[in-house]
Amino acid sequence: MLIDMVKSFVVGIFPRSPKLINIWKAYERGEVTEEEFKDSYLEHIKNVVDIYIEGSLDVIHDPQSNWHDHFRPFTYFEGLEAGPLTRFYENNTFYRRPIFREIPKFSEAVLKDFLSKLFDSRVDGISIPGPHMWITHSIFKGVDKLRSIEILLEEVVRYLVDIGYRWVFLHEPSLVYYGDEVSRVEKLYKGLMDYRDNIVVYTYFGKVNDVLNYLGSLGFKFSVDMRWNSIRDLSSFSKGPVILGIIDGQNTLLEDPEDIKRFLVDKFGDDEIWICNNVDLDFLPYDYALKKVWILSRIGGG
Amino acid sequence: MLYTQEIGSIKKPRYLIDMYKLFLNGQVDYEFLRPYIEAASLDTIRMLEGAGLDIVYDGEMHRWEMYYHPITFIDGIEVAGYVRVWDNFYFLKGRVVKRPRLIKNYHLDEALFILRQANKKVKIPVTGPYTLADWTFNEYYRLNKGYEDPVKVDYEAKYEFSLDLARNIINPILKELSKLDIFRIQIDEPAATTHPNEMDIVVDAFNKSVEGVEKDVSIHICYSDYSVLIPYLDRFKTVQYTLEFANRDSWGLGVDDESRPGYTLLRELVDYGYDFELGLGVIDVHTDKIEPPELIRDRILYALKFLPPEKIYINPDCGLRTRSRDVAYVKLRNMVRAVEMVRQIL
Repeated sequence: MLIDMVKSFVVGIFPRSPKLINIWKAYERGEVTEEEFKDSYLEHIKNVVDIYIEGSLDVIHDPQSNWHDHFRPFTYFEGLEAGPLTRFYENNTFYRRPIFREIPKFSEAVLKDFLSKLFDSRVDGISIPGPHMWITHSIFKGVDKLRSIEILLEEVVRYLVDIGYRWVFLHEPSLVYYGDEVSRVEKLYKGLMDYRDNIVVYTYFGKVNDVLNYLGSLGFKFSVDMRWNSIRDLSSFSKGPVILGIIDGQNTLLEDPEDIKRFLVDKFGDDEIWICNNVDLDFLPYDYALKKVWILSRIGGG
Repeated sequence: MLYTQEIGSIKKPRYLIDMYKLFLNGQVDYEFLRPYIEAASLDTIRMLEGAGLDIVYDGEMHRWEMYYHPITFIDGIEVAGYVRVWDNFYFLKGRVVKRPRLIKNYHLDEALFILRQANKKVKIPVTGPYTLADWTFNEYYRLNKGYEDPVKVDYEAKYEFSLDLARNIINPILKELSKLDIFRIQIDEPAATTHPNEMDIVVDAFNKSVEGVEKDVSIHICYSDYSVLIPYLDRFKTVQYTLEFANRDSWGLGVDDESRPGYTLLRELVDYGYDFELGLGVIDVHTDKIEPPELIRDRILYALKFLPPEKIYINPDCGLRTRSRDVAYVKLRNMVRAVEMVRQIL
């Protein structure tokens, strides 16, 4: 396999460094100024982006390290709020369920503090919850579910693409953990068809299913979690749109880059293949997340 | 009947937290830390006895917390670093790099101290093997297993790790503790129902842990989907399930179904043919709001519709470490008062 046939990149929230964690806690206790806190955060982001660039990754994903969870920044939109702390699937990790009280009002001012693209032009990828994840994990108080999600996502994705994010990763664990009917998924994705060249449907915590096949047929690229799927499970898919989440973001065990290259050659020959982490590296301590970036870089020829 | 007990943790006094931090940063040694631990331990035992509990413990003063404490005494598990639990809250997570071996019974000194000091029956909580495995990165058992059938490989690696922890770590600890004058050992398995497809591992690891242990062992599982647990209840070699209810309940008085929505599980347990003791959670540990004795009384009276009094133990939903010691004391005192009311009714 030619090395440049493997495209590799990191997806999702990158963990905070121990230094940033401590400064964050000190900031919450009122022991450092807002300026010191912001400087520290910007330094962290720059370091992570530098590492992605030096590793020649094919997508420079926004580290999003000031996102408390995937939903949180959006809960500051008018009409939305952060609800109860809830376990995130089968993990010792918790998020706040969004509560929709009315159709959310998009606000650039709210988002700007959470988007690294606005101060580092090298960044070209970002992760946000996909429509299925929104509808599965939110609480709706007297508002139309589909309509709320449709309006919210159309506006958010359009804005992200407009400001220069080339890749928008729609996190969709619920699509493969719970499954769903093709017809409902079609409704959820209808409003995003114009952006399908920019979108990757990023799935994890479950086995691939017909719904993904359907999204692939609409032209959406999607990724699969290789902790839940074997290559055998992917046999019903055309190779093109599938991205392999093969680097384990939930285990500190370090993959051997050469071992994975051999595996990819064996299974895909000379076809171009895209690989990434199977879940956010935020499930790992910072030092191990850095090691996983190095592994992805080595496999991709960086 | 209707024995009252705490579950495990109580908030540490400030002086002990500060001293633990110095110890964890390597600035003082354990011998320097020990008197602070013992002072807080004694203070907590007296606090629980003062609240009127029938079964006491020391609120985990001998442990920094329920995961970090055990792994520092297990050869084969190394600290990997901080992993986020939510927002900017983290826990130190370990990684297993070789087959685990017990360095030292990490609950023996604690148990001996508590037994010397306590004037009531003593319970010792022990973090269970499945939770230790679930909260640890599984490197050793996952190594060189390839990518062909990842789900099967992960399951088998988790099974082997959990059973090794049960066999090599927890079982010897329990056997040694069971020779002491302890009333009850409680295995804490908060992770038990996290992965529904791994319930066989939870059961087998628990049963391996208690093999040959000559003392009654209970199991505490909280903030869980109990519908996952119910089909497995008969398979655990336990005398008591200690469960959380109050968190799901209303604050109105009453002993009818409508007044007690948090306790619907009781009917499911009876339908299942439940014949164990039940540790009934009657205190919500996630709020400073104090439950009045009358509310707790009604929760107990409702439970008595389903189980006889000799099968019911009364406790908070979980450890009270997230509440101030003052709030914890008043909540426990009210719990004891409520039991006194019920005993009079009976």
